[in-house]
Amino acid sequence: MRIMSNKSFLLLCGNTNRSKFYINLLAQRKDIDLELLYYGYDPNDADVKGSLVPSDSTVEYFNSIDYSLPDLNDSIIRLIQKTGLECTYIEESDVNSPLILEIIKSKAPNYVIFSGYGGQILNNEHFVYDSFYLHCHPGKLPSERGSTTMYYSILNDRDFTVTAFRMTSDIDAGSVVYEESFPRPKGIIDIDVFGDCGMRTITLGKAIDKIVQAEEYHYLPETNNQEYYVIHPLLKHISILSLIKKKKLY
Amino acid sequence: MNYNYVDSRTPLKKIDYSYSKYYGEDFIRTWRMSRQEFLGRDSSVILDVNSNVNPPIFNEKNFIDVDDILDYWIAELVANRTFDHTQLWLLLKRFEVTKKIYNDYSAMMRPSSKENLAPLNAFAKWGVVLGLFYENQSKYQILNALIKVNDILISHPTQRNLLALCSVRKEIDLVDELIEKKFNANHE
Repeated sequence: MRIMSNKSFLLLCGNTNRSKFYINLLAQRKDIDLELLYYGYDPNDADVKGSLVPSDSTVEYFNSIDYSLPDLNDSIIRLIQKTGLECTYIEESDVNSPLILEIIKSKAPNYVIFSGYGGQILNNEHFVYDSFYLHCHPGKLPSERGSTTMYYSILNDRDFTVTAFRMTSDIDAGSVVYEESFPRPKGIIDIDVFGDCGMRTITLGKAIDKIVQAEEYHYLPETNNQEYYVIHPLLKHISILSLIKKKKLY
Repeated sequence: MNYNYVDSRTPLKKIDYSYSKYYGEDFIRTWRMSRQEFLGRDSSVILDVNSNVNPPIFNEKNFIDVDDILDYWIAELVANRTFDHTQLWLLLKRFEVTKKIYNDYSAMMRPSSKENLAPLNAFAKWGVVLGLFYENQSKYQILNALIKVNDILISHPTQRNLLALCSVRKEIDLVDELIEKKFNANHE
């Protein structure tokens, strides 16, 4: 029998593939006090199925690191219903809205796991309460800041790294909770959806383990960071194609 | 397939590079064709550089003409002289955010006015700076910005000039070196 952790978590999630990955992970955790806050809710989304299927090499890659990719075909609403997790649904889609802030304040979880919509940045209001915001960034902090760092990691002949950290009002700058490295794939994998979400989810699971066991890291990234801006499609193609053995590209 | 990162509304309109699709090797071919089409018969281009340019003197309130800043960086990079790269990195950051080059800049590399968009010639000069800077630093963020500035330049083929040709020619050479390094050297 597992002992329930005294730490509480709230998954602040939008209708994204990453949220589906996180929900699949969190539904299996019976040792934590967990609730969901689903924002941008549209009841019509319940029956909208996904159509994403991982390539064989993507499945093979994740099997090699002992992780089974979740099925993304269920709508997120059906997925939440299936898991039986307690969830508050709100139609508001602005993550900085007073309604969302009020709900978080009233629930007062120890940790808010952030899985919002792309491009949304949390404003300062989120960080005035006692809850810590946990975010998994695809890159090693502070040296790999930006959203497409996995492609730069390939170009730089580095393994992938995902960093779980406590968010602050400065982007990618809070204290690190946990960091996980992943080997470079030996074939072409779908990095944008399955690679990114899968590696973030594995890291999130381990970060929660550390928090539950009170073994999380507490170091602040240094300031001499490197910013990587959105990768140009040409460099993205070169990085992906460099994963497979090719003598001549053109 | 076509190379989709050309838009005659640039630099006023930003090209969107986020969540770009993967097309395999065909994409590399279309990228190459887009550049070769722009170069036309001018496959070899040589830029005459004045290597004695005074450094721009910034103070708290002034704005310096972008040409003076870029000419200084080109001169220093061509002569392989050591200089402070802080403002160059800062301009790279500003360019990545706005995809624009302005007529003048403060010490923090902010323009005096966002209405003050520089002519394409300054974008081409910025491309030349980035090509030289990438050779000097070997950091992919620099090459990334160079390819983006060249997307703007090739979006305006009627405004081809020597600087633009140099910037695009340099990009092809640098990308070819990268492909050679990542493919052939890696997999022998």
